[in-house]
Order: sequence, then structure tokens, then C-alpha cells
Amino acid sequence: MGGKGTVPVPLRERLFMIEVLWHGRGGQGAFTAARLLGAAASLEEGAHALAFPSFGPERRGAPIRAFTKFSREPIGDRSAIQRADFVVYLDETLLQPGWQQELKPGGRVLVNSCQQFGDERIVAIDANGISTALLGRPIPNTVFLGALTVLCPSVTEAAVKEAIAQYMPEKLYQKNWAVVDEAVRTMSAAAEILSLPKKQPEAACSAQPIAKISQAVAISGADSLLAKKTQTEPLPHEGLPKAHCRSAASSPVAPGIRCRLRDSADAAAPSLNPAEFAKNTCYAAGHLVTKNAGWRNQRPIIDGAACTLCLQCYLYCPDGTIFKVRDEGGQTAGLSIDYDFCKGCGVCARACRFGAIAMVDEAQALAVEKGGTR
Amino acid sequence: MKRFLSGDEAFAEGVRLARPAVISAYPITPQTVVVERLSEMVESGQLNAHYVHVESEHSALSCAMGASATGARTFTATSSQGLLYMAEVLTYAAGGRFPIVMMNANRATALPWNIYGDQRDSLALLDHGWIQVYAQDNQEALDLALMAYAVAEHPSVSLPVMVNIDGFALTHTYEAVDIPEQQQADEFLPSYETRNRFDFEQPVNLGYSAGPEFNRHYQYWHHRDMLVAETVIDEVEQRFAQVMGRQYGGMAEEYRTADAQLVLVCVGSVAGLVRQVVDQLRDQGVPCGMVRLRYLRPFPAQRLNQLLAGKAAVGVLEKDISFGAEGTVFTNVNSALAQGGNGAPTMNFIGGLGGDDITAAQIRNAFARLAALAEGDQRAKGAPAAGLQWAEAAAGKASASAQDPAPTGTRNGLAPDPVPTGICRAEILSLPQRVADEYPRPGQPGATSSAHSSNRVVFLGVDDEGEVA
Repeated sequence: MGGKGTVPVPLRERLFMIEVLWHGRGGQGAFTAARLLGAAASLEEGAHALAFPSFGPERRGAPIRAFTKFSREPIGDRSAIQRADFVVYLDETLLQPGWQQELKPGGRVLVNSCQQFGDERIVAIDANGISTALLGRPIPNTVFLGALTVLCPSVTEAAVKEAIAQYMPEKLYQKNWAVVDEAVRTMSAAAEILSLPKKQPEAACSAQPIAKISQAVAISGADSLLAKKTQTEPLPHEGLPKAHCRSAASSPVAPGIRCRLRDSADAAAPSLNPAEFAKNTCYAAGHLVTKNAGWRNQRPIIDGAACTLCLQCYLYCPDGTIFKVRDEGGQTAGLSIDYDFCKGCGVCARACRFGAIAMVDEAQALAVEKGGTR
Repeated sequence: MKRFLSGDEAFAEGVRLARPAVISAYPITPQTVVVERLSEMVESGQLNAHYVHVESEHSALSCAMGASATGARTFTATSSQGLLYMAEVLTYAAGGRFPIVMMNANRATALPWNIYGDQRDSLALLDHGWIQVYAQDNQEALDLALMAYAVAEHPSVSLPVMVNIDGFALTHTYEAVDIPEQQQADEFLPSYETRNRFDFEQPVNLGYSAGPEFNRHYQYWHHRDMLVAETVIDEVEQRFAQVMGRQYGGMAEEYRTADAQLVLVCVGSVAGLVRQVVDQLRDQGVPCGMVRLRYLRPFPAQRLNQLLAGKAAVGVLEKDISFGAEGTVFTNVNSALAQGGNGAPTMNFIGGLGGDDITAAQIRNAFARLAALAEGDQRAKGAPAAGLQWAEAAAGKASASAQDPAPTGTRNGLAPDPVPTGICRAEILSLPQRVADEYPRPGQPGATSSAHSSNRVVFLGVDDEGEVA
């Protein structure tokens, strides 16, 4: 904007910027929360705020990020936040090992969860519980707006409520005020307890009418807990023939079964050298693309024993990820799924009239793969 | 009224206040929201306009041109491939002197397919006869919607205006924006009246031809009126400031250039970050400054020469590359400086392509390269070489960084990562090994290529970091 460029700001007067990084899945309202927080922060005279989503294709259920920055000075840096004061996870499955790298020293992670994470930097809030009780649906975003007003003094509860009133549809904002009230109550009570690290976190949980907030004293790294927590339950596809539940990571092909080209070990691996790939006229599907881009939170598993090879799933799959597996004689011996591209929409499971396709939790499936259970 | 809006939403508010009679557009990311909001305003009666759904961008601008020919104020908007698809009509609209305002959401062009922001789309069409202006933030985007009509419809100009706002960095980023009252907007921008239009009482033609004996006059006056627009733009901004209380920097805005030796010229929203890096480097004793080109057509050659006279080195940071040559903004800046007798060495920094973030560290590094460039130039001229000292300061070797109030935190806009060392490496345009073996790099011994200015074009994130992993 004109005018603001003319007077240099002395170093000592440049104040810190607060940065909030939001992780969520499409439909959970992560960007709405980022925007409302920015609107709330910019209400005050002389305050500046930016809010923006991670830019890219959008779909319900797909992981998205959103960003809020606020400061007493104009914010020139419009790039994505690398390290934040607060990192919010609206979906706990998105909290993955390596989360520390997104956190500034002294920063906090807020996660929508009833679990304990064994790291004092992670504060778990049962935001689904609060929002379901007050909105009738698990829309966790505004819970964290309330929680942040407790942890981040430069944004007040009144400002957050004003932003909700201004930018949410009339029929929604009263209910979301109640959500903020509840979140502030819960977080304030928990914050007192959390400042005393010896106190048992269960006390915080039992003190809360709706929500549970937990924060365990750091005993072991949160990473190991994250890795361990899903390893206990066996998956429904345990014991199925390998050809019917091929893992994208290991790609084991059962003896005697010949796969089509994309499963062939002979196929040359796509180059990651820019001198080679940047000259390509044509691409192997999926080249330079993150495998299923984190979209899949439910994984279809085909039960070969129940499958009649009717091919309904093969026809209905919107991404063409189901393919025929042939035997030595070239006959169709079964079906398999290309998990590099399967987005976990579940259309195949719906299309199957024989109950041969089960949808299992992706996080569990991954944990089993990592643990080498199979 | 203050609202927290995205750039697209802010621009739609600006268009609403301008009261166009006809809006024709075809949606494309990241422009879509602006036409969605306008269609909602038309549907709700908030805006009294004809909203025409068209089947393509080519038709969108054709429709706007037809409506404009009747004397109606018109609006269209597009981005990237959409802008390229309407390219044929761009010269029609400009040559026909239709005062259409178009918003272009700056976005990369295919292939590879990419929906994110850079400025290759509008810069590829710099020669199509439109006035081109680039916004830095959402407030400027909104205000430019109003000012663009005032410039376009000025009888001495009568040319279409393309208002460029950076895809995503502005179009999808929310910030607080002051929306003027309709009364203020009406005072600044009265309804459009012209006798240069279709009229049933006095029938006229449209889309005329002009052979060699007349054609040059059309082109001459198109060029002349484009140059006149520079004066009109200043007048319009003065009037805007009187009515709205917001003053813009004219054709080009400067920041701390008066006593600067190293100046980085840039375009669009990245200026906000450059400004903050300039502040930081100034604290470390680097005499640096910034120029933001607001208008690229007409090109502010004179203003640029005023701002850059006597500088030790000038850099141009842009989100564009004209393959086989250099960045298009760089070409324009160099030409202006050469004609102004400015002998400062110049360097081109290409970054932000396909939505790549330009980082504070990269900008600091760019200033360090400029310092080294200045030093070489000073030595060659036998002048005292201060460049090295600036380069060291820019690279953070000076003790000034100890002033940082909190080294562990991130101060406003400044990334906490250390400044890359190894500034101003000799190997620019580092081609990957396989290719380099077959053909020597331009500028290397044995090279036959005369790649234009190859030693002065730096690809951020490639030349300064080696191969992309």
C-alpha cells in the first residue's frame, strides 16, 4: 500500500510476528479457522494479519494446511509458514513424526485428540467432543480458536467472537460462540494444571464436563508413542494371499503371477535428475507426484477368497487403480489395487456385491506395514 | 468499511464500486472467486450489471469489447492459459481503443501444468497494447480496480487496462482491506460518457481495416497515448488520494533508495518481503534499497533513471524468464538504464516460478551478489571498492547481527535460517553434469553459444543451491 513504504521501521520497534499453522482435512474448517483468527487479530487498530490456505486441488477429506500470521507491523512475507508459534492439528492422524520441525522454540502443538502424547509441547483437546456436544457434528475448528485465546494473549476472546459474528452465517455464529466459551473454559482450567507438570493429567480430564485435555509429562519421545499406538490391533487382511493385498511400499508379487507393466521390476525407475526429467515429453503416471498425496484415510483390501472376479469394482473405480493380476497362462487370477493412486474413496467397496472389499483405517495399515507384521 | 478479504474478494468489491454495466468472464483458478463474487452481487441486486456467461476467454473479451463499443463500462477477468487463449482479442481491444478493465490473476503457464503464481502470463503479453499495472497487496488491488477505469476512460488515453494481482499470494490471501463508500467511489469515478461508440441514430462501423498508408498513424497514436497515460496515471492517483486518502507511488515506488548503493527492482507482491530484507540489511550496514515497478506499460523509464542514478549495482528480481535471453523485466530495465546513460552493472534474479516461494534468505543472497558485482565493477574502474564490505555485511559476517533482539525467534518476515555462504559463485546457469559434458556451458571455454547475458541471469533455487533434489 502506498504511504507505508516511506518511513523505515527502526529495528527495536519491529515486533515479533505470531504464526499459526493449521493442519486439517478438507471439510474440517481449517482454513475457516485460519481466516477467522486473522480477522480477529486484525480488528484491533494498528494490527496486521494475513491468512491463507495451502494452495492446491481441494477435496473433502484430503489433508490441507492453512496459515495465520499477525503482527503490529505490515507483513511482507506471504510465503508459507515453515515454523510456527502454534501448530494446530484438527485431525490427529495428521500428527506425524517430525512434527517438531514445524515448531518454533517455545511453541505449542494443539491436537484434536483424547490421547496423551508424552510430550509437554503437545496439548490434546477433545475438540470433536466439544463440537459434537454443542453443534451436533464434529466440526472442531472453532474449538481451537477459543483455545488459542487462552494461550496467545494478543488475540482476545471478544475479538474471536466478533470475527465469528462478522464472517459466519447468522444461524451458525451463536452456536460457535458457545463452542468458543466451552473451549476457553476447558483450556483455562487445563492451562492452570499444565503449568504444574507434576500434576496427573487425568485430573484435568475428569475436571472437564465435555472435553478432555491431556498433556503428559515428557517421559519418552512423542514419536515413538505415535509409531506404537496403532500396532496392537490386527488388520482384517492379515493372512490373505499376497496378490490380493499388495502393499505399495514392498510390492511383493506372488510366485507364478505375472503383473502388468507398472508392477514389473524391470521397468526403469523414473529419474529424479532435473537434467533428465525436465526434458521429458511424456511421463510415467505418478512421476514427481507424492504417492496418493496423503488423500487416503481408508484403504480398500480385497479378500481373494470372496472375490468372484465380477469386475464391478474394476469398472467403478474412478481412478482406474484396480487391475487384473494374471497367472502364467495369461488368465485373470485375481484383482489388485495400485495404492500409489488409490484415494480411498470406497466406491469399490460399495460396488462389491459379495462383501469382498473391506475398508480399513489407513493409519493402522501403515503402522502394520512399518512394524513388519506382514 | 474495514473487512478481512482475499485479493479476489477485494477486487470484486472494487469492481462493484466502479458500477460496470457489463461483466463477461470465464472462470479459471486462481481468478474464479472474483467472478463468483461479482455474479453473486449481480444476482442479489447489489450490483446493477449484465453478467454474461461465456464459453471461453476468447469470447469473454470479445463480449466485453462488443459491450464497450456501445459505450458501456465493462469488466472481465482471467489468468494464465485463459489470458493466452484470449491473446488474439487483446490486440483487437487495444487497437480498437476500448477502455476495458481486466483483472489478471498472475499464474504460471503450461507445460508442466501448474496452477500457482508467477508472472509469465502477463509478461508474455506485454506487447499487446494494454496498460499493465501490478498490485502489491489487496488494498492496492481494490483501489486499482477504480483507478484503472479512470485511466482507461480518460479521453487522452482510451486504452484497456490489465490489473495484475499475484495468483494465491494475493488472490487467495486474506488481509484487512478498507472498502470505500459508494458515494466516495462515485465522486472519484463518475459514470462513463463517450461519443466514441455505437449509436443507432448515427450508424458507425467497428473492426475496421487500415492499409499501409493509414496503419502507421494508428500505431503511432496508440504508442503516443500510452506514453501520455503516464501523466494521466499521476493525475488519477492525486485525485484518488484527495477522495480516498490513500496515496500510491505512481509508476514506480521506491524504498530507501535515496542513499542506497545496491537497489533491487521488483514487481508485485514480493515487494513486501524485499522491503523487510532491506530494513534488516540496513541495520547491518548494507546501503540497499528497493524499487517496485507498478506499471510495466507504459514503462517508467524516466522515473527509473531518476531513482537509479549513481547506484553501484542494480538487480532485477522477477517471476518470469524469456527462454534463451533473460527475464523480460530485466530487458526493459536495462534498456531504460542504457538510454539514461546509467552505467551501473546489472544482474537478473529469476525466482518464484510456478508458485515457488521467494525466501528472505534468497533476497539477502541477491543483495550479496549485487555487492560483489559492484565490487568487481569498482575495481575495473579503478575506484575504491566498497562492494566486498557490503557483501560481507549482507552475508551476515558483520557483528551487526548481534543486535538481533531474539536470535532464536523469527522476527517479522525474516526467516531464521542462516544466510547461505559462497555468494556470487562463478558458476551461474549451472547445467547438470550430463548435459554440461556434451556441450560446454555458455560462457565457458569451448562454448559456441552466445547466450545473451548468461552470466547475469541467476535462477533462484537452482543456481544458488545446485540441483533440485
